[in-house]
Amino acid sequence: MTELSYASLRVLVTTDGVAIRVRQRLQPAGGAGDKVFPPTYGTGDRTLKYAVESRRIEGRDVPCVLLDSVASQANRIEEALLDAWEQRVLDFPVIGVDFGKEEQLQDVGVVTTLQAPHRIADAILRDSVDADDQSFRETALGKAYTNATSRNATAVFQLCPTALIFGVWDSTGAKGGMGAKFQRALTSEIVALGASAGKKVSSRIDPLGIQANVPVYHRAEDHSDWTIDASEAEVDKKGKPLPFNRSGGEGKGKASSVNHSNIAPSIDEFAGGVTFDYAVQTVVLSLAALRGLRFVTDLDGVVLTEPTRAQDAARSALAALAIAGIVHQRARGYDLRSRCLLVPDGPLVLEVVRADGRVDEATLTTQEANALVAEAATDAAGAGLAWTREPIRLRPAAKLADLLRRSRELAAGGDEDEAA
Amino acid sequence: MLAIEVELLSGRYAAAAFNDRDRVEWPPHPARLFSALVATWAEHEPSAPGGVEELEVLNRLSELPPPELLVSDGHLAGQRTVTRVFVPVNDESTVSPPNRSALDAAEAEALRATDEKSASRAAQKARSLRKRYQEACLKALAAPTSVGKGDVPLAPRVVFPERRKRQPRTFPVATPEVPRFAFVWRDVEQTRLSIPTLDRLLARLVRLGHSSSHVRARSCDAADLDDLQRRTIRLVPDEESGTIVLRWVAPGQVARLVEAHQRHREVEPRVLPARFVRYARFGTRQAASAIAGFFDPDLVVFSRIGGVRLPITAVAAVARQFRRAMMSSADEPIDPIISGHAADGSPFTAGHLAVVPLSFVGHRHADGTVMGVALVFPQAVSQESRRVVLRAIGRLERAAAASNDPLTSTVRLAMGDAGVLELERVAWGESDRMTLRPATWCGPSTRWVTATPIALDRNPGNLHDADEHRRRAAFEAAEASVRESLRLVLAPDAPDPDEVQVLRSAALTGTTKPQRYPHYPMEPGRTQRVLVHARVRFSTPVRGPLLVGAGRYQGLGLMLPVDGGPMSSPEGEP
Repeated sequence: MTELSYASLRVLVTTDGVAIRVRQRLQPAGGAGDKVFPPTYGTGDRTLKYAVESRRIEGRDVPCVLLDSVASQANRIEEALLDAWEQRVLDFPVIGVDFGKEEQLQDVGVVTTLQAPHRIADAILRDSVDADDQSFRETALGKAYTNATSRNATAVFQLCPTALIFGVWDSTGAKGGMGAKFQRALTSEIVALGASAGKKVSSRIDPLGIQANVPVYHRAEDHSDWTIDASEAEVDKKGKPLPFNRSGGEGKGKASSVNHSNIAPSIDEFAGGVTFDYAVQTVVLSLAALRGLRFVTDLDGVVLTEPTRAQDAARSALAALAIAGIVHQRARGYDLRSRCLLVPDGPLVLEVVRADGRVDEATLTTQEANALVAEAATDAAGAGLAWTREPIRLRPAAKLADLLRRSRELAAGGDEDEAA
Repeated sequence: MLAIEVELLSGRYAAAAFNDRDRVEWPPHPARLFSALVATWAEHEPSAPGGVEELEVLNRLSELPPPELLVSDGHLAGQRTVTRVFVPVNDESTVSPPNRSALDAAEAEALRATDEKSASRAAQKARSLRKRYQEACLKALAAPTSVGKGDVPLAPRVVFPERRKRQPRTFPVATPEVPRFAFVWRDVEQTRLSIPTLDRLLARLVRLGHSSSHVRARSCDAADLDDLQRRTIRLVPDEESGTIVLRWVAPGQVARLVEAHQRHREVEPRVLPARFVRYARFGTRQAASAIAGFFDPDLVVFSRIGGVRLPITAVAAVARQFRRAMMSSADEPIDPIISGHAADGSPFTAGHLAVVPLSFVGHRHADGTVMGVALVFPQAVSQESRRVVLRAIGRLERAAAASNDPLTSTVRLAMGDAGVLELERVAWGESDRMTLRPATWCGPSTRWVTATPIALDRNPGNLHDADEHRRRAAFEAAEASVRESLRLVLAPDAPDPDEVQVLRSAALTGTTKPQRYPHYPMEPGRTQRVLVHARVRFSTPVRGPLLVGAGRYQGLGLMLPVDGGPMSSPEGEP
């Protein structure tokens, strides 16, 4: 098994490499056979809440459960890339909206294109301004992004290359539905094979030993507060004390409505976790998708002097960045959700798939992946498509900041259900 | 031979059925590959010399007949429970950018101006509009002076991804046993189109279906298909008896797709132009390998064109009225083929005409409405008997014409208090309603499910008995009775079914439980038959129509073939 060098990656991207694929076996951190909890979906009453399917493997029907969807995996790989970027082990363009200088909102920190659900096309960037108080989309860079297409993707490459890896559709920008659409080049999914659904139990013993049937009422002076003293209680039209009830809460008028007393044990068989033979993370990086991107002009609209060299370098840089994402996500670990921690059951193997179906294998450490990205970025810079770590600094528009502050005030006052 | 091989790189195929977003499309429709290739062509310099060559290949491809498919069996394609996933929206903003179309128009005019005077006037206008636009922008971005109730909750939704509103989307997915499939044109010479150009186009194909279904595609020859032929099934076009409907294209498809694209621009929801082709598993089309039934698959079909809409429970009543109408217009003495009785009044055992109302069942939105009536002949019927029936029908139609518009030949059946059912014969080709097409009811198929319940020849006992032993005995007796009834309507050398499951409730959408049906037979004084639904599985395909049980000449015991195809049944409860 060879190390994937930049030179070999470049050859794959520019000639007959169709895809780079990883099929990683995973087991629960608690050991093979331990129970984990998959994501739940609204599948209806009294049916298993997991996404199940039956796969045919070597002549047998094997029941399987989805452990992490394509969208969720994309978010995790973006998080891994963000970590690496913040630690400066990877340098590539990331645009962030900085709340650090906004009064009362400093704790929000910086919201980046790696966290925004729609990446560079996200609403939060639309509601942001640059240092000159110009709205992002009105800046030269913002306009360059709006006008980008797959036939000239320079602006996206230099402002938000991860959007070209995970896909983006500027459906709510100036061009409406005709805004630039870039398909994803990277998909990843984790499925458990040979899965068997289990049961989980829940119950609560109140450490204070409060009885369930202690009556609890709304307090007359403050509807959101409670009291057990009927003389302090808010009364209804007939003059009777009003039983305490939080909207959406259970146990009206009882101690459980204010989170006290016991909860009787119950058994849940519809979301009770699964055990399985093994899980597989299948990652596919489509090099063919990257070859569908073309780069004709630079950010200022000037035609590139060496378009072919630029194009090969840009596509290779995107491939390198995507691979780094895969490697970093693996290094970060597979802590998918509460009670769903998985560990790889074997080393990282990158399968290189060619046009005629031939598959070669390669591997890469985290440091090698970082070096790959750095080398690719240098190559791209030499061809006129340089990467700047922070191409533009944005802050929230005054309107957004103001409304967020107001929202927090309302939540603190208890009038809003949503707390910011 | 020309063949295109497609590998599913992640093993999954994510594409929704064109007529049902909650169901996965499997096997992959050849038309989808064609659309994907046209999109691939259009995205990459279609007017350059290379692009023109590719267009030529696409046009040639659209002229080919529908391909065969080498693909994993649909039952083994691991179809995932279709889940609804909630995707965060992106159309909520606190800042509403002002409209800049007036400014854009003015700037464009300034550039277009031909003489100095109009140029400076246009530039002046653009300047003042720009100033006003910039002021409007600043206002839109600034902290608001007055705040509407809906504005405030917007802010945290914009800033915090986890607070975003979400839209549901469905993602049906199939994971076939073999993550490869091929489209094959066996009788097409490779020279019909340029293979190198086709390969160039296929190499650029990124996905088939949803953007997460990455693929690798290339052309291949017979040797490459060896492995696939061993591990997958072969589907071939079969207009007569195919039950799997796939979409292919017709010549001129590229132009059609380009025109459609102008309209939808990848934004509007769309169903693309296509040609529907029936496919069957290779080998099942050969009539010799399918077991023949007692009844002839060549049906005479009447379509409901108006009048009362009747539920599926009315089938026996409709059949009776239709037969009466025929007997009233038939030659005297009435031929046993129509009446079912020999000259001396005893039941005619050689088989006679079955009058079978056809109801809308098996489909997701099926409601059991009677859509028409089929006249079904026993295979052994003589030509003369057929003529007798057709003469009676003709007279019935003429009688109708005489009293109404002479050009129509509507048969009107009086259904008592319910009203009148208006039927018209489907004389040319086939009805476009699935329920009225002979192939829908004839298969061939290994699995069959009752659309209308079977009237058992013998009383099996109480199927609802509280006592478990007696109830089980009743089910076993019912099953034996169904098996006997099946033997009566299959060729004498036909093997027994592998599995017969008797059900007390309905097993197909649109059908209903046996208790809802009126007594059969309805004439007072006759022994009432027990009605049951059933699911039957044979080891080899059986050709229908399959009419089973004591009520088979009156529309009861009509079974639906359910192997593959768009009308496969959901599970019922016993």
